[in-house]
Amino acid sequence: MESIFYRYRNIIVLLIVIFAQLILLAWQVKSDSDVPMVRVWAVTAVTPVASAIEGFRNGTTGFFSNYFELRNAREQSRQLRTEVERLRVENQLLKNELGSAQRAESLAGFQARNPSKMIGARVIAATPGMGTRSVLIDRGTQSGVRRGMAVVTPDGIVGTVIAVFPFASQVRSVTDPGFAAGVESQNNHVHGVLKGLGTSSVRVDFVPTGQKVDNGEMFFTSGEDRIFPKGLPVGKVTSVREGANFQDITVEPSGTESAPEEVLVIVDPIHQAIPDAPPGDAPVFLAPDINPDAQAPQMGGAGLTTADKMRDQYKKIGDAQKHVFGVGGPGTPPPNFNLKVPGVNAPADPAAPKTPAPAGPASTPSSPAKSAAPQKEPQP
Amino acid sequence: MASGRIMVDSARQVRSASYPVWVYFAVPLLALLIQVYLPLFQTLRFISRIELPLLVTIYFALMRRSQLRGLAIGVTLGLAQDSFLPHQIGMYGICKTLVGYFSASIGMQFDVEHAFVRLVLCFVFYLFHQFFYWLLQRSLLDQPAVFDIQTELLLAAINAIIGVALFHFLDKLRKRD
Repeated sequence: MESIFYRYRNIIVLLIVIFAQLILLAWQVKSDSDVPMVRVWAVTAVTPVASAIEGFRNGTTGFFSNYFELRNAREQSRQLRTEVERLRVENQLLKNELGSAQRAESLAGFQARNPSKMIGARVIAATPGMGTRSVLIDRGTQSGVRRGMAVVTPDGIVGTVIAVFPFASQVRSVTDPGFAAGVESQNNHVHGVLKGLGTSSVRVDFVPTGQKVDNGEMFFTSGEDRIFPKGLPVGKVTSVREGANFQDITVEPSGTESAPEEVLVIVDPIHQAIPDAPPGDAPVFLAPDINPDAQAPQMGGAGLTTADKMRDQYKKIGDAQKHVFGVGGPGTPPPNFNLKVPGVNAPADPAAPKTPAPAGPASTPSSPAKSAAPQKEPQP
Repeated sequence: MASGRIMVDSARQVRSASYPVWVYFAVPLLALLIQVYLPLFQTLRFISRIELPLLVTIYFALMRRSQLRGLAIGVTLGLAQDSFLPHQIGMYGICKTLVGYFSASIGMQFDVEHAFVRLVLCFVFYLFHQFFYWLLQRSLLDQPAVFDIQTELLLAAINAIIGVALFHFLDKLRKRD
């Protein structure tokens, strides 16, 4: 008996190990549980090294890129070269910091606008397997992250936390085949279930044939899954095909489109309304008017911008000299725009009768320029 | 490195290679780190298709010439790789256990220092590994996985070429007689 066991011990050990792993798999599937101990060992062994490398890379990228750029400047004087190098390194570092600050500002703005309570995290590793997608972030149980929490960016949803370690968490991406979330279309409020495909696209299942979904329409989270709060952008519809019972809808996820480096973990989700307009691609900046006296144009009133005032003034000066704009060939003398016209670019005649001015500016008696003005737009 | 014959025909070819202890920790850890860290960068995403943990498993199984040692390194690296993926633990564990065991078994018949033998073994075991993983995904987890044979053949060839270069580098870490 012993000799048989000894003779076949290798194959027996192989069968035992395979069988043990099959049992482990079956237990995980059956009880929907995990084996945290194995994950903790492996992730704890790798993530500190990955974090250290990532920190080192962030600190030295600017230095090395500038070093290579400056190799051709050796013939320049040492003093100038040192100065340029120092400034470029500083510039690169500042640019990096500016980029980080802009991303942080974007996240902070999103956090401020969104009623849900969130914490920021940095992506430190990607774990793409065969048809699976997940990332590791640098926040874990020590930061209050729990399994099942939603992970988002201002652009859209990123995934859900599926495993939590002391200083890191594993996030299943929306593109992973195991991912699912309740979604709702923006225009027609069609409900469905978002599912990953293992590629860069995702699909929306269980939308009955006949319900209207348009190409390019945005999908938002519906809040029905009790993971993602309602109203977060999900992605844009890229194709819609009618099926026998349900439609085949493909969506380009907006949250994972640009491989986010910083994300937000929703620790306390609060629902919000789905916006009427799709989220903008970039923030709009409205500069203040350079003329502090300018007033906002009013409905039905004359144009009151600086440009309108200048055009009106030149038109009146031309009219005062009987000049018709747009008439006359090249070489004909232009009107004298330095001519002082009372009420236009000179004080009004104080001797003029003080009758109440009618509504139309052309009929003001104190202004001969205005009274002579033909009602015609000036031509360039 | 490469001799003319590919079958075992000398005592040198059946001798088990030995390595410093740190190699058994550093090389698998480095393979895992490369697998999870470098694909973060947009231009290096293709590295996720290079199965470095599998190549490391094959190498140590071949060079140690022991089925049990091949099995041990396969199950260790497989379970560690499973830990970084969002699915149940054991999928890569089973696949790499089999690869470690079989590559050690087959490795005893060939001169595993021959570059052509290494190329063929890496190619075959990569395909076996991917196919078996796909099979487990479909049968055990009931997931809608796709096995694109053309893509897998191309990736097997790329992995085999990288494997030969990697094995050549790892040979330099062996203890001298």
